[in-house]
Amino acid sequence: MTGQRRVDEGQEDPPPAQWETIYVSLVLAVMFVVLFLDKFGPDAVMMAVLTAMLAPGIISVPEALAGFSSSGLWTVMVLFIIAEALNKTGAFGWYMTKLLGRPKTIASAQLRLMLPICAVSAFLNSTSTARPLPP
Amino acid sequence: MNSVPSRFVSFGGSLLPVLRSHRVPFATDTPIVVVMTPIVQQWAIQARLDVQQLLIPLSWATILGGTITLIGTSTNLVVLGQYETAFPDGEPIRLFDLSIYGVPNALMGLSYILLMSPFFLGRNGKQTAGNDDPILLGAKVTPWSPAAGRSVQRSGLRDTGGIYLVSVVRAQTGHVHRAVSGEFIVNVGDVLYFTGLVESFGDFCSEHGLEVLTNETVGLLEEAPRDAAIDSGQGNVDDNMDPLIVSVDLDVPEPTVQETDVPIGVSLESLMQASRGDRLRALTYMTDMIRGYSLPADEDAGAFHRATKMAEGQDPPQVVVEYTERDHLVCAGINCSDRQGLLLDISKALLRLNLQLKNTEARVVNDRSISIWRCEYAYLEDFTQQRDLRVSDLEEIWSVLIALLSPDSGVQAIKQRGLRVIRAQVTKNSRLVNRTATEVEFRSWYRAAIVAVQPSHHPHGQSNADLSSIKFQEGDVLILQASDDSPLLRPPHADAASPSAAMSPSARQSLATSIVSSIMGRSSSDGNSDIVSSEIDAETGTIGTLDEDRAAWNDLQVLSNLATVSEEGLATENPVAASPEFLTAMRVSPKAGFIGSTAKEVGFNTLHNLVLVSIERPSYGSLRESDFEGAMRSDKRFLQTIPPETKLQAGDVLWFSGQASYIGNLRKIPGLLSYEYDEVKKMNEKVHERRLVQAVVARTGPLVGKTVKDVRFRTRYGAAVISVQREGKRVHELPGNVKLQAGDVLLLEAGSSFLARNPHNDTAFALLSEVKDSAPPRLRLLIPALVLVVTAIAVYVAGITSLFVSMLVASILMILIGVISEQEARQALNWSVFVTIGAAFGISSGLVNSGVAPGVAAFIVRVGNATGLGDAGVIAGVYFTTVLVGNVLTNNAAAALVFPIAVEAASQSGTSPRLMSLALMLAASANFMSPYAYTTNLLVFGPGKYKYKDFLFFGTPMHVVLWISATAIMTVSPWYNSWVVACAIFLTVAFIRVFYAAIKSLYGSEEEVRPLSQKPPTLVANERVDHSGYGSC
Repeated sequence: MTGQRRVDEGQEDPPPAQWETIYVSLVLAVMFVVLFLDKFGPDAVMMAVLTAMLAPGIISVPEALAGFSSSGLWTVMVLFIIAEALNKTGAFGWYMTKLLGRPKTIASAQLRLMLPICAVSAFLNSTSTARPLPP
Repeated sequence: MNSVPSRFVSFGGSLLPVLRSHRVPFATDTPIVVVMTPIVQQWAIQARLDVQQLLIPLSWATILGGTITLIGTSTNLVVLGQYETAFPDGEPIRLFDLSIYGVPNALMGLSYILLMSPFFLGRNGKQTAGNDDPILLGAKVTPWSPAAGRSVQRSGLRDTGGIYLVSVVRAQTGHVHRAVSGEFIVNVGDVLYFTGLVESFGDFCSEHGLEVLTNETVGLLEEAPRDAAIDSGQGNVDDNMDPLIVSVDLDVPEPTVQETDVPIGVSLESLMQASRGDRLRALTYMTDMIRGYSLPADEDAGAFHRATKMAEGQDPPQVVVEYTERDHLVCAGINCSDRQGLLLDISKALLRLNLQLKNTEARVVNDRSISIWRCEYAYLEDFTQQRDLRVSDLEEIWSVLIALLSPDSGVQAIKQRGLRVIRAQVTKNSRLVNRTATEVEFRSWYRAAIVAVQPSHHPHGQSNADLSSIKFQEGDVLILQASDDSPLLRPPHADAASPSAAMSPSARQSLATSIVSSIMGRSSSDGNSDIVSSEIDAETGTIGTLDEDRAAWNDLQVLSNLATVSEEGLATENPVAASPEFLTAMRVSPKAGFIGSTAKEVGFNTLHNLVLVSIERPSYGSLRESDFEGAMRSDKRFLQTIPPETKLQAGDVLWFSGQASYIGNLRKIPGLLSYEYDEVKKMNEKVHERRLVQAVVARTGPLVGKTVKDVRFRTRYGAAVISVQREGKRVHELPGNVKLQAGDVLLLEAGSSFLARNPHNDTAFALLSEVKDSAPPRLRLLIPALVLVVTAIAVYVAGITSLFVSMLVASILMILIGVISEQEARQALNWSVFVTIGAAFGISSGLVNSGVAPGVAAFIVRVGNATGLGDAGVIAGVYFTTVLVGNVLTNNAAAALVFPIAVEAASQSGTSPRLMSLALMLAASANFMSPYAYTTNLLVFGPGKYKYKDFLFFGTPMHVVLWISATAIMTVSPWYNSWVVACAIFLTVAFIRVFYAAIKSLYGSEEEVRPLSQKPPTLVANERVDHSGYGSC
C-alpha cells in the first residue's frame, strides 16, 4: 500500500513544499477509503499511514513515536484497568437496578435511566472501540 | 494431556453442541452499557415499557456523560495529552474544567432525547407491547404419558429448559394446585399449566405425552372429572397411585354380547376374560402372520380367524398382552391400521412403561400393521423389588397401548392436529376482529387451534371466558397450535410481512430434526433409523393455495420468538434450546438486605435470562443467625417448598434455572450465596482465580455411580459442584446428593488451575469447558475500590500529582488488595486502541509538517469568519470537521488527527487553543448517527432490535442540536449563563414530558402510559387458574 503510494508521489514531481501537502492529502484520502472499506483493523491502517509518512521523511522517528509515550494515551490505558476493576466487583448492576425503581411512564423511565447513567459515566471511563462503519 | 489450560480439553469425547455458549465477547471498554443493557431490557419488560425507548437513551446518556469530566471518556484524555505536549506552559486543563461546557452540553442532549424520542423511537416496536407476560399454556396428561402416575420430580416435567410448570388442575377433584412440590403425583387427565417458551411447547408436549389444550379440546377437559368420578366409583382406585382412568372400556357394550364377536384384545374384557392360553395363542398367531407362515387349520382358532378378517378393514386396533414365564418376557401383539411413525410411537410408549425391548417383529398386511414386541421390565427407577407381572400390569400396558392407537385421541390424532405452537397477532384489518373463534371457522381458515389468547387491552373480569367465545380485538396475541399444513407456517409473501416474522423453511427443518433427535435420544435402545427417516418425511408440510396464505397472513401476523430476549441479536436459533440449562440453589444470607420482602418485590422473578423455579425453606422454620452456619452445614435437613408470595427469610433456598453464564451472574446479587458456598470457601484458590467450568462425567471414570460427597469432590479435584444437569434436563437436587452418571454435565466452581493441574481429570471427565467471564464478583471489595478511585481523583484535583500518576497508583493498589488480578489487569489493556491512538499522534504531526493542517485550518477560519460569528464560527467549523472525521474514524484517532487542525485554526483566528481543545473533546465524542460509530451504540443495536435508520433519523437532528448548543455554550460569557439556560430547557422538557404523560394517564387510553402497579393483563385461558408469576414446580 505504502510502496504504491510512494511511486505515485515520484511521478508527480511537484516542488517540495507542495508535494508534501499533496502526498499527505492523498495518503489521508486512501486512509479514509481503507477505513471505510473496513478490510483492515484501524490499528493496522493507522500504522501503515504512519509508515507512509515516516518513510519519505515527512515526520521524524521521534515525532512518529511521540504518541506512544503520550501521558494522555497512557492515562487511557491505566483507566482501562480501573474501569475493569470496578466492573469486577460486580455489584454495579444490582445497585443500578435498585436505582432504576419502578417508573410508570416512559418519560420518567428515561429520566431515571439517563440521569444516573450520565453521572456515573462521567467518572467511569469509557472507550469506544467500535468501527465507525458496518462490517 | 498437555498442561496448558485451554478452553476445551477433550478426551476423546465428542464436543457436545450442548457446551456452546452464547455470549457477546465482554467489552470492557464501555462497562456501563455492557452491564446495563440486559438490566434495562429486563426492567423494560417488568415495567411494561418499550425497550426501544430506553436503550438508545442509555447509550447516548453514556456518551454525553463521558464529556462531563476529563476522565469520562478516553477521547478527552487523548486531546489532553496533545494539548499538554503542544502547550506545556499553557493554562492546564483540569478534571472539571470540561464540566463547565460538558454539563450544559449533556443537558441539551438529554433534553433533545426526552423531547423527541416519542417521535423517533419505538414505532416499529409497538407490537411487542405486552408480549412478555407469563403466558399460561394448558396441556392434558394422556394415558400414555410417561408422567402419568409419577411425581412431578420423577416425570421430568420440571427439568426441561424453557418450560415451567405453574399449576395443576386435578382431574378427579377439579382443584387447582399451585406451587406443586416435587412429590406431587400427576394423574391421567390432569391439566397442567405451563409458562415459558411458547415456541417449544409443541415439542415439549410431544415428548412428555401431553395433549395441548386448545379451543377444540376444551370439551375433553370437562369430561375428565366425570371419568374420574366413574373410575373411583369402581372402588379399586388408589387415589394417587393408579395412573389409569380406563375410560375406553366404558364405551364397550355388553361384554357377553361381544364374547363371540370381538377378537381378543380389542376390548379390555376380551383380553382379560380370555384364558392365558388363548392370549398366548393369539400372539403366536400374530407371529405367524408376520413371518408369513400359512395359517394352521386349527379348529380352536376361531378367534384367530377373526383376527385375519380384521386385517381387511378399518377395524379397531387389537392389542394382546401376555407374560411368558419361560423367558420372563412381556409379549405384546399389536394389530392396527398402519401409518407413518407407528412403530416408533409404540416403542416409545413401551419404554415409558419401563419395558425394555428384547426383540421386535413387524409386518404390514393389507394396510394393517402387525407387530410383536418382546420386552422385559427395565430396572425400576425407585429401586423397589422387581415386581411380578400382575393382572393390573397387563391392564396397564393394554390400556396405554390402546389409547395410543385410538383414532380419536391417540398419538396419531394429536399429530394430525399438529404440534407446532406459534404466536400470532391479530392485525388491524383482520377478519377476526370482533368475532369469536366459533363464528369464524378458525380451523378451516388457519388449520390451527387456539391454545391461549393474550388480549391487547385487558377487559377486566374476562379471564374466565371460554376460548371459543372470546371476541378478538386488534393486537390480541393468539397462541396457536398449528397443523403442518397451516398457512401460517409458510413464510408470507414479500408484501405481507417482514421476513423476520416468518418461520423460515430452514427453521422448520431444524425443528423437524430437533424433534427427530429427541426421539433418537429417547429410543436409542432400539435405534431404528428407518423409522426416524420416515418421521422426517411426515414433517414436510403440504402446499396450499396462495390466496389462502395471503388471507391468513392478512388476518394474523406470526410473531417471531420475542419471548427469548437474545442480547446477541442472533436470531438463528433458539438459544435456550441449544445450550444446557442448569438448576442451581442459592440461599439467602442472614445479612441480606431483602429479608422480609417477597421474591417478587426483590425482583428475583424477573432476572435476566434466569427463572426462579421454586423457593424452599428448611422445615424447622426460621433460624437465628447464630444457628445459620451450622444449619447450613448439616446435610439432613429437609427442604419444603413454599409459595412464591412468602416473605423471604435467612436460609431460604431459591432455585434458579438458566444457562451457565447467567447462573454466574446470580453471584453478583448481594445477599444471595451459592448453596455450595461453604465448599467454595474451602477451596485454596484466590477469588479472581476461580471460574465456572462445565465438566462432563466420563463413562468409565471414578465418578460414575458415586455422589459428590462420596468422592470428596472438593478435596480431590479442587472444585465445588454448583449444579448438575443430566441428558439436557436440569436436576432438581442438591448437588451433594446427586449420584453421578456418565454423561452428566457438572457446573463447577474451580480455580483456573483446575483445568491444567488435576491428574484425575484424565479419567473423571470427558470434557471440560470454561464458562466465559465467570470469575466470581468481589462484592466485598466494592467499597475499597470506590474509595481508591475517589481518593485518586481527589489527589489529582488537589494538584498533588498528575492524573496519570494518581490513577497508576490506584490501579496498582487495586491489584495489591485483590480487586483485580494481575492477569485480569493485563487483559484489560486494549493494545489495538493503544496502537491506533499512538499512531494518530504521529500522523497528526505529519499533517502539521506537510502543511495539510494549516491549509484545512485556514479554510475553516475563512468559512467561520464568513459567517460573521467570530470565535463561534471557527469553533462551529472545528466541531463540524471533527464530527465528520469521527464518523469515519474511531473517535480517539479522529480527535488526535483533528487536534493540529483545531490548534492551527485557533492560532489563525486568535481563539484560545485551550477552548478549542475543549470544543474538540465535546465534538469527538458526539457519535449518534450510526450504530457503528460508537461501541455503546453497537451494544444496544441488537438487543433493541433497532434499524440503521433509527440511528440516522434520530441521531442527525441530535448532532444539529448539539452542534448549535455546543458552539453557543463555548462562546457564551459568563459561563454560568449557559448552565442556567440549559437547566431551564431541561427542566421544561422533563416537565412537559412527565406532565403530558400524567394528563394522558388520566384518560387512560394512551398506550405510552402503562401503569405498573396494576396487575399485568391476565391471560384468557380456558381455566380458572389465577397465575401468580412463577410458581414453584
